[in-house]
Amino acid sequence: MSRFRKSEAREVPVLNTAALPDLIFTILFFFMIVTNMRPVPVMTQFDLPQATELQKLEEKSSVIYIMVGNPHDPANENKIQLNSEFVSIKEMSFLLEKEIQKNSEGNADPFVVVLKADKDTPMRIINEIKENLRNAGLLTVHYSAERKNIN
Amino acid sequence: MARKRRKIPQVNSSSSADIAFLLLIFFLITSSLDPKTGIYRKLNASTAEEVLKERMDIEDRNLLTFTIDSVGDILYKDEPITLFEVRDLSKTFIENADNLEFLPEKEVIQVPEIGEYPVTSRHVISLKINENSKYETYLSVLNELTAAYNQLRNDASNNIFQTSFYNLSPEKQEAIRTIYPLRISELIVEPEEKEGGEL
Repeated sequence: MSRFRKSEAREVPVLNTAALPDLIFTILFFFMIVTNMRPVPVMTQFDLPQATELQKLEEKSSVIYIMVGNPHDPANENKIQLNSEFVSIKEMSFLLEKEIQKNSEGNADPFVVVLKADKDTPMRIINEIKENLRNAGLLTVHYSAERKNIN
Repeated sequence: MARKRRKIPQVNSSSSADIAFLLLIFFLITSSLDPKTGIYRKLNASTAEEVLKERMDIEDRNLLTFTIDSVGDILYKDEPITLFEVRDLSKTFIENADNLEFLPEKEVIQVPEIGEYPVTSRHVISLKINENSKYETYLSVLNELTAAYNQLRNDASNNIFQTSFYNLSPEKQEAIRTIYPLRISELIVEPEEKEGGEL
């Protein structure tokens, strides 16, 4: 009898996992709140410059993303990413027109161009991009920057 | 027997953790933590040639020129200056508090919500940017200029409406913007052009 009891006591109790979903849901909600969906895939690596006079991007308007930096794929010669494709300066004005037509169907919101450029980008490239934007009639630009910590 | 039938069996919830995990992983992958902060700016509608032509007509007292050279130094009258000096110089220039002769001329205009107010409506801050300079330098100067305008607007708002600029109604903000209109002109300079000064 005593031997039988001993073996019963050795049995490990079942882990109660009833509270596990609640735990996971809490983490899930945290991520749902703090994150925002990536509007376009980021295929470029860039270090944003720092600034102090920052304003948050208003998402009400139609947004066109332009990224300048090093493409993740080193074989890519074009360094400018317009929304989700790489473009060269020459074809940029044509593609901007296409984006405008694609986005302006149904909504008359003003366009905002978000320029995410690496801090070491030469101004020549930035200027060429700005010339193209000006010719396409896209005049509102949001220069992306990180918050600078003032010590 | 009838009593026993009424008993509801417990829902097996062991797989709900898996469902939650799937959702969690989905959000982890699709989400990004970019700050979405930056500086808003309206581009001038005119082209570089038009800017150059306009510049000829601007009186000296209305023009403040900063140059960014190829090394990334900021020059004012050929002397290198710091970023903080850019802000200070711009503020003094835009405001012209004592109505000095060598600073921009003031014009009394009718502003809604405020009334008559002397405004340096013709001032222009001009940036000459070398083609080879870096975006970082340009943005830091732009940041300082924005800071100068923001501070002036905030001061004006404190004086006139006794509250900070961000607490004002959109109409009053527009009125303050009319007092201190953003007038920045940018010009890209090719390196050859700069050295060609001797010709």
